[in-house]
Amino acid sequence: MLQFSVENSRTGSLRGVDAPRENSIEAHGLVREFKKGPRAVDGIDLRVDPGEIYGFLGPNGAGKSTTVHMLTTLLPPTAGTATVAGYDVVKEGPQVRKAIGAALQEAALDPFLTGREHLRLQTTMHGITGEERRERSDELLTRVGLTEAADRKVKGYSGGMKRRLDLALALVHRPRILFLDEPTTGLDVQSRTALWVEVGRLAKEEGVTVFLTTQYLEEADVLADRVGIIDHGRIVAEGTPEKLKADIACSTVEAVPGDPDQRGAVVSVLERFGEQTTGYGPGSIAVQLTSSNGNLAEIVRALDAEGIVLSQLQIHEPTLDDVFLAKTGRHLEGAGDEEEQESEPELEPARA
Amino acid sequence: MDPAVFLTQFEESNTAAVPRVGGMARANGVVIVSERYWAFAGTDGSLREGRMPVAPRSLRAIPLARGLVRLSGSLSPLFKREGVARRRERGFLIAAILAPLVLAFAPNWLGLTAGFVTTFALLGWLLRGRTLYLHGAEHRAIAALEARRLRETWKGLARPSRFSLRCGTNFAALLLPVAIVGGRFWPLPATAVTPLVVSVLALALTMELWQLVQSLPRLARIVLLPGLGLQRLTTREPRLDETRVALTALAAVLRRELAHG
Repeated sequence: MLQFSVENSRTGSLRGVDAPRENSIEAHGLVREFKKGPRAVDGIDLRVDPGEIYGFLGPNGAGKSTTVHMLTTLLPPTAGTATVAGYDVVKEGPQVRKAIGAALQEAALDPFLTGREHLRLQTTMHGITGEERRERSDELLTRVGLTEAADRKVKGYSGGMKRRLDLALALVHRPRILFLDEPTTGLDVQSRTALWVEVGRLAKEEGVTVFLTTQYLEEADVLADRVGIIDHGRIVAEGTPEKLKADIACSTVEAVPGDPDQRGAVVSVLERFGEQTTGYGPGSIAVQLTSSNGNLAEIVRALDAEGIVLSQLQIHEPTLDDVFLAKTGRHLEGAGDEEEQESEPELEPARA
Repeated sequence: MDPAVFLTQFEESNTAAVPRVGGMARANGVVIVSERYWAFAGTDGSLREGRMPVAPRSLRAIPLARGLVRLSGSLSPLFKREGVARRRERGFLIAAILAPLVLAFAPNWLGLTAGFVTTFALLGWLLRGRTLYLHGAEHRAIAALEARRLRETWKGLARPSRFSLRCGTNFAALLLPVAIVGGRFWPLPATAVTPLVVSVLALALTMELWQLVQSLPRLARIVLLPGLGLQRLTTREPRLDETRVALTALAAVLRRELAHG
């Protein structure tokens, strides 16, 4: 059963709700323990600057959603502190909820209401009425590409349409900070790209701070200004995608021998330049280069010297998966097969 | 949609008007109704929703008739095919309502016996399962809405009253003297259908009185005192999970009301 976790608004801070605050997110030593099981979040420190898109990358069960639930006041932290938009998530829950929008994994949609009715409900809750309500609803429906489907019941929407409607609902009150919990999971490429464009626009043009969790490497790479990689409740790496890749991972060389009998020879040559790795095409041999060891020209010369004929030779730039591998010893895909140790949210708004 | 989330949002939105709601407890859940919508939340986590019937405007304006229309409308979640009662239960309730019609023409001994049987059967129906606890939960949820203490009530930090001025128990307590007085001073010669006519008129008159009393809270507290006393028997202190069942139904009705403006 759900439980409330925040203080009554009547006993909350006396500071003005509308007083301008920084659109940042900060957490110090944030911990969340559940009754049965390990710490879902184990001492997270992070800071997201105003207008920044922060990608929180990790496998299933890493603690991403639990972190978002704490930052959006849905779940009280077991230890540590966090401020969102300058407000303490425990002591100033109502103020936090006014400042943020959130589209969480469990889309808070009613299948029997239309898209437009959802917007009417959400705008009413935020005190937007009359002509302003109609204008805002129309604007958001257009922005997420749901104008034509606006008067259809949500039960007939596709997964992508539901996600887009959820995003529109989270934006109703023009939040300064937006939390998106795996917003593109299960979406087709087209819907995913459309959502990325909109999220990017929000940050760039409207200065909205975006906290985005994802298990998709590409999403973090393309969208995020900075990435935090989380595993087993701890942040194992943090920085811009470029810096993370440059700091930790090295390029990978992938070769396909022209003659399958020369496979052993190819392995032998390539292993002089790095460690063999997996996850590439069938029949290919891949080696992750050590930082100081060789370049493509040297590799080609070495292969040529052994009289090896290749049908294909490629060099792959490092990915965030390489960063994850370097930090955890595992690939991101499939790393979270263990179920996420999360309970029901103990309180509150799916969107504030 | 998570009811706790919704209720928190609702409470924090000072501009959202509070619609007038009522309710009905059942053995396995709580029905909450507004003017336009009803929702049933079950103790098993189920949720069913529907629209309330709209009576013709002309009928709603006629004194006495309007009360009967309102009364029958409030029972619609029970009697609708896609409502909260199963077919057998609907049959039983219809039989119980129609019994006086038939028994009016039956010999006295049969009428009396059947009357007792029907009354006990209805009492058994009313008191089955955890109805009384859920009845308390229903009142608590509505009181929480009116006092804007939904979050605290969900959490169990607040326990708004389980007694309600608008409870059906109060209506029954008001109906009884009206029916007795009506029967005692009935001006026309008694016939076989007199008890039936008196009963229907008493219902209509009580509804008028009920509406009047509800609009005068101070008077209501005095007039409805016997009913409030009776609620000590017809409600029990609900557990938190039972209160949450009622709050879940309440959240569903509020959501529909706000979504449809």
